[in-house]
Amino acid sequence: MVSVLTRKLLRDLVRSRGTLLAVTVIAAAGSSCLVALVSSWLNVDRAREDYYEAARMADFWVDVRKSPVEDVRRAAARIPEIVEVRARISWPAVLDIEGATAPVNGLILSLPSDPERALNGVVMKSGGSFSFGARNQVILSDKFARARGLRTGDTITAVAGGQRRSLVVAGTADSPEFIYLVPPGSLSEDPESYGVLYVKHDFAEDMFGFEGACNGIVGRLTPGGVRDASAVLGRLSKELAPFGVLNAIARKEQFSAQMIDGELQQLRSMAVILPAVFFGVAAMVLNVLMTRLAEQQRTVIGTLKALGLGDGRLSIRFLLFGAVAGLAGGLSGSLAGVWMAAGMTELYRFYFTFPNLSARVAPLVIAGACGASVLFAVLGSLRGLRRVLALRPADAMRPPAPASGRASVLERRPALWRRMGFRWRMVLRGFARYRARALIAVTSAAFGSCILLLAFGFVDSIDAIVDFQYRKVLRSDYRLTFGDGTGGGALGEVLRLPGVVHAEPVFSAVCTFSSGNASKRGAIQGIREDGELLTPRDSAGRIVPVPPAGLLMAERMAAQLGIRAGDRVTVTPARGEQRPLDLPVAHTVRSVFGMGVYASIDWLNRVLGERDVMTGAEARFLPGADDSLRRAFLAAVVERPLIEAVSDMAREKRAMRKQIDGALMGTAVVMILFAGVIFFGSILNGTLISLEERRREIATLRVMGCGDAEIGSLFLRETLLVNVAGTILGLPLGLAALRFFMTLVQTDAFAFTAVVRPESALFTLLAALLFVFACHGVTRRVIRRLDWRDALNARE
Amino acid sequence: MSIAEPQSSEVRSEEPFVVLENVTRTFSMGEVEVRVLRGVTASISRGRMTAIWGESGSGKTTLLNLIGGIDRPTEGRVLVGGVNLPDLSDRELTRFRRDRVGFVFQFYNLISTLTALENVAVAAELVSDPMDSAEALRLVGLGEFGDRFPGRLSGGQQQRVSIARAIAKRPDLLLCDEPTGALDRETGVRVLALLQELNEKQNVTVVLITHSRPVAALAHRVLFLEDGVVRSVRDTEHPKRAEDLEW
Ligand SMILES: Nc1ncnc2c1ncn2[C@@H]1O[C@H](COP(=O)(O)OP(=O)(O)OP(=O)(O)O)[C@@H](O)[C@H]1O
Ligand SMILES: [Mg+2]
Repeated sequence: MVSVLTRKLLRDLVRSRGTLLAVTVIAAAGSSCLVALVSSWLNVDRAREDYYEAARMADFWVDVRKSPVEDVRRAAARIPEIVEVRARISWPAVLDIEGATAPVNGLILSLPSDPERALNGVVMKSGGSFSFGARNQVILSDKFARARGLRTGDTITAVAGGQRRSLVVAGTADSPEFIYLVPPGSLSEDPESYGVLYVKHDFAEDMFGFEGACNGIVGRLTPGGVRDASAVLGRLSKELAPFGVLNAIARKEQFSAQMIDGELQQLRSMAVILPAVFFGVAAMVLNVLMTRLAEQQRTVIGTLKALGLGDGRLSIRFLLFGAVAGLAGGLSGSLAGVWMAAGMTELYRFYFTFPNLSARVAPLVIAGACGASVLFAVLGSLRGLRRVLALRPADAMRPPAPASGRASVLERRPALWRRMGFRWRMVLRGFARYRARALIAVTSAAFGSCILLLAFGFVDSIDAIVDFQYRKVLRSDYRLTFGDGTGGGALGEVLRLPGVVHAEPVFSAVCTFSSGNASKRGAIQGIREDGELLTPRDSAGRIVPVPPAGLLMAERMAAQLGIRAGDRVTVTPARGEQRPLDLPVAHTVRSVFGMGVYASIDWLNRVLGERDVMTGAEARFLPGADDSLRRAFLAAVVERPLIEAVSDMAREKRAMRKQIDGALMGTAVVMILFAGVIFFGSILNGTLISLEERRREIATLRVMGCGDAEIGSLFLRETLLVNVAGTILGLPLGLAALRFFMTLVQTDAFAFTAVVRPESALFTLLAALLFVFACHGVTRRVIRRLDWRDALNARE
Repeated sequence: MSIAEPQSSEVRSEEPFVVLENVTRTFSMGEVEVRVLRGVTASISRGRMTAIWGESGSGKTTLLNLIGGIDRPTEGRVLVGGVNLPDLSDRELTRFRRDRVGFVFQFYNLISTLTALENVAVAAELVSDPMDSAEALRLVGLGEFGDRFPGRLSGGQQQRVSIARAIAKRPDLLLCDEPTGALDRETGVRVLALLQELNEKQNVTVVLITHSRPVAALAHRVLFLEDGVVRSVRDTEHPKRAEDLEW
């Protein structure tokens, strides 16, 4: 006798296949996200761990001024948590490339003669490792070599430390230190213009006059030391203080490691949030469907109950149908998820250099996604089940109580109500009758709108940052970095470079800021008080003038140090006698990349006991200059051994844009599609059920001479009202979600603030409307094809 | 406005308003062809009350649907006011129903989320010169019940609302499919008396479907439908009064 129920349920399910499909698609979206995000997370995480292990990634990095290797080793040996150190030499370099219109910079790093076994070693990709004999060999970071078309045996010319050297390419390699490699000061990779040049240690000693000396240490810690890294590094810094510590960071603060951590963190939270939203909406939509189904089954169920069918078997039958929809969604979504995971892995392979990042999808992940999908489907069926169980056989044999019209709350405001046409009244009273359903529709729309706003908001926020950094704060065309402590005369030399129309000096002094117990390493940028090329701004984007005395400090650093504008801060410079200074903080400023601290260059010179020192310059180039002038400029730059690095700000901005447009737009499009799935699923589910329930009403209107359009407009009003309300409610929800994500990705290296342009709120609304009208097209079709004639004379 | 005086001079024209010529309607259900109407020829006069009488399953509803422009015949002509309905497009048929026909069904078919008055207004809004909705309700004796939802009205009251809805459009043709089918005797009599009154005083052409012989006796003309054809036609100038009905 159960088969009767099964058959009836099946028939009704087939009839509600449109709605069922909607549920399945939403659940599929959820499980595809789950599979893709979790798999990507596992894959990247595993690839990273393997890589770190195999290529012996360091646990810490310390940059010092030129120091004797022996002294450094001895200092490190006094710290028991340090199990291994490698002293190395690093130096920025400008590459002299004939005919280049954009600068090419590099980082020279020394490697021992056995480079693949060293800490932060390299994994050879092509060519060979260093050979005996030849001294001027270089191993290039692989992506850079490929981007520039450099091969084994080619020769490049590097200018660094006042020296100019020809280097012969021995091979190309990757390193765990630079899984994500970006030029200093930037956030986006640009392999054509920046790479790592690994050279033999003795060659570097020779080139920079560093016999027996180093300016960097990488090392490994005991597990206890890793846990307590900042304390260990504090002690090491103290030991190394006499040599001048420029920077000391643990692995989790290292740029590349941090970027990957951030990415994994994002994947993890997305892997929870997105599927939860989809499964939640799927459960809600299913809830509407199953409740309706329970209503349709009442006679059969009542009869079966009267015949003695137990609640247990009845429940299993009923839930099974919900579970089947969930499983269908879970399986089809997993398939899509495998495909998406492959796509995402491809994207990660593009931006991150892992030796082997495979697009694996663990069966367990698929099982988990299907399980979650089924679980939510069962949850979504529970209310319907409760209806079924509450049904007494006697009730069930009678037809359901006729749906009664009901006054809506609005009717208590007669002035407003009277002005409303009967169509609006029908819609509003319908909501009053099916409150849960209306609530579910509004909530679904709110989730959809939340996802839309997130998609637009991501783009806006990053646009805002790029705009803030490259249009408001950094207004130079080229940034030139000099060797340590050049006299003010260097500015004249910069101004004489071809094409440079204006230049301003910058004095960047590395120091430690401390207040109370908090301390933070950073640098003070000494700039001109009346400068135009580097203009610190507050969070509203207004220029904050550089005071004649005192510091402008990044808000985030001030917050970390627990100080405010007007307070004083202890500054210990990493140069000279390293005497702590007590300096006033005049204002705080907004800083998106790094944590900038600014001061007047003259004042900074004075407080540090220097005269006229500069470490770089910002330059404005002749507007509208052509390539030949740029070539001449770059050719002149490499002739000046003083210049250690040159950045093309426009190019940096373009690289950033390109990366954003590539990765972010893709994500945004996927998210908009996902929002579409939610809107479509929820709206179609709602209207199809409503159409089914209101066949008789539609037939009556048809008979009276209403056309498709008029009948359709009833449904359109309903979906419009619900979805516009939901979308508007979803806007603050989306903003909150955006804020949450922005704090997730925030590190010392960069800070995003959630920005949503008013247009984006409008686009969200427009997109929602677009979905509503697209669905309405489907509704109209269904209405047109509805066989309404039988409904006329049927018993209610 | 009270029930208006009979139109002009009371000379009842026998002008045929609806003419059915050799109408057939066949339903195909997969392989099987069901011939429900097998050549119906009949006419319905303007301003009169016509009953279509026959047993259950004889094709009454099918025929009414053809007259009302809800369905199309398989063969034959359905002329209403000189226009052959099968020649009209779907859009024109919709227009025809909207402007000229009022329907009353066995199960009222009121919109449950609208009050009685609003149910009438829905129909009234569709035409250019409707009756005032409250007036239509008053005509059916429900002037006081405009604010009630259908769920709060008795079956007879609901049926009267549906009649008010049908006449609010001032239709040329009022088609009633078993309007008393779901009602008890007393309520049924009230509804039928109302239809009779509308026919006499408002001069509405009424087509009444029934399987009951006494009810059919209220009409000026009775078309007896059997096996898909009109077996007999009976005309009378003095039909029975609804109040005298014996059921
Ligand atoms: N759409 C259809 N498809 C197939 N057969 C149909 C269809 N509509 C009606 N019929 C058949 O046509 C016959 C006549 O139906 P119709 O509804 O016209 O009868 P009726 O005289 O109105 O009966 P009742 O008094 O019970 O309402 C019935 O046998 C019915 O099964
Ligand atoms: Mg019938």
